[in-house]
Amino acid sequence: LFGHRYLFDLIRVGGVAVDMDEAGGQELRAHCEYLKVEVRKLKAIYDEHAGLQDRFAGTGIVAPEMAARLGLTGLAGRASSQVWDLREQFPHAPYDCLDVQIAADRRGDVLARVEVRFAEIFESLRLIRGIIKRRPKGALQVPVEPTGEVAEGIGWAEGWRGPTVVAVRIGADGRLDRVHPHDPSWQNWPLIEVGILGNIVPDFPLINKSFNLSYSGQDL
Amino acid sequence: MATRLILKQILTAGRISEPAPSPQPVERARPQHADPDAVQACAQALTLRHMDSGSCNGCELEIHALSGAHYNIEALGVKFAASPRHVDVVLVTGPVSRHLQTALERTYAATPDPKWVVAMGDCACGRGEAGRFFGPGYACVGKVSDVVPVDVEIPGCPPTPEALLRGILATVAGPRE
Repeated sequence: LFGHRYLFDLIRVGGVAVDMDEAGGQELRAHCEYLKVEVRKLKAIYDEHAGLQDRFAGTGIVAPEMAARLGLTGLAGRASSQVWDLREQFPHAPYDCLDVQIAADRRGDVLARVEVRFAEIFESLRLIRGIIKRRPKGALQVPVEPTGEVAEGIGWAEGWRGPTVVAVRIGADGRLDRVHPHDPSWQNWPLIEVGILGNIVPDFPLINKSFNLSYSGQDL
Repeated sequence: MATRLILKQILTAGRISEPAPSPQPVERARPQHADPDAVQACAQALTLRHMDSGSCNGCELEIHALSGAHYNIEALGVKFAASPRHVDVVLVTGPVSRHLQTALERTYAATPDPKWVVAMGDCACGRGEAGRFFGPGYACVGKVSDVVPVDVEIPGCPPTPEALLRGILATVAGPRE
């Protein structure tokens, strides 16, 4: 639909590279509908599965106080009462007119993260439909000329693991001088260490995956 | 109640796994070096260690897709292990960052013979200008084959799961040369 599974090279300076036509919008809407039906089935199984819930409840707890002290962000943070979401608190287009509903929980265990994730899936599907419906017409890009001066900027977006922040400084020659990407995984890894304390070894993979963090970039 | 819903889901979903792609045509970065018996044995049960030498997580997401029901890599006799001492193939993603050069060398050294190395993605294969996507620079060594010998290269940014599967199967295909 967009020419790349992870949308690499589609966001450009001054805009985006690819537009979506009416048929593309329809296709995306159909996919959202399909996913909603399928995830509802899984949620129904999960809701009835006492054994699974028993294993999730009370496992891998990150208490809200600890989460606040160490700055747990994103989805994992929202499951530990850290109710921060850039889409709601710093709403840039298109989120400013979509009334984003934050999913949150205060228990901080695997169960809470699963609940938040399910809620997040349904909310995201709703947002995608809203974005397709409201997408603006007009030019994809505006021309941006280098000013010839040193310039600094910071950009952020609520990613699927949490807020992703990039700070950039451009030199007088128009080339990148300094770049600092800040990934939510980087921020959240120390909290897994807190989460696994006092848990049995077979629950480690469960707790680890409930945070769903990326290993990439952690050893650089 | 949950059991009934699970059974219903299994029965209505059916089998969704795709048939295995053919490793042909085999494109190898270097000729088959293992003896035919070892190749044949590993072709039936191949174990991989994934080694991230500085990737962006794009390749990892595609590797992850292989373990799902759709590509169902374990049904093909291929599985991932958590230690290089237990494997036949080291699957490397990302350009080799200087911080992870030692880790890559040690991972390779810790893998028992006969062993193969698969470089996955444009960074690891060094596609791009001057045979390198990244580096050499202050943070980056360059492509994987600058550090350890590579048997199969799978280009793409990131490669599709199908291309990845084909590349993995290609390690244990082809006669010794």
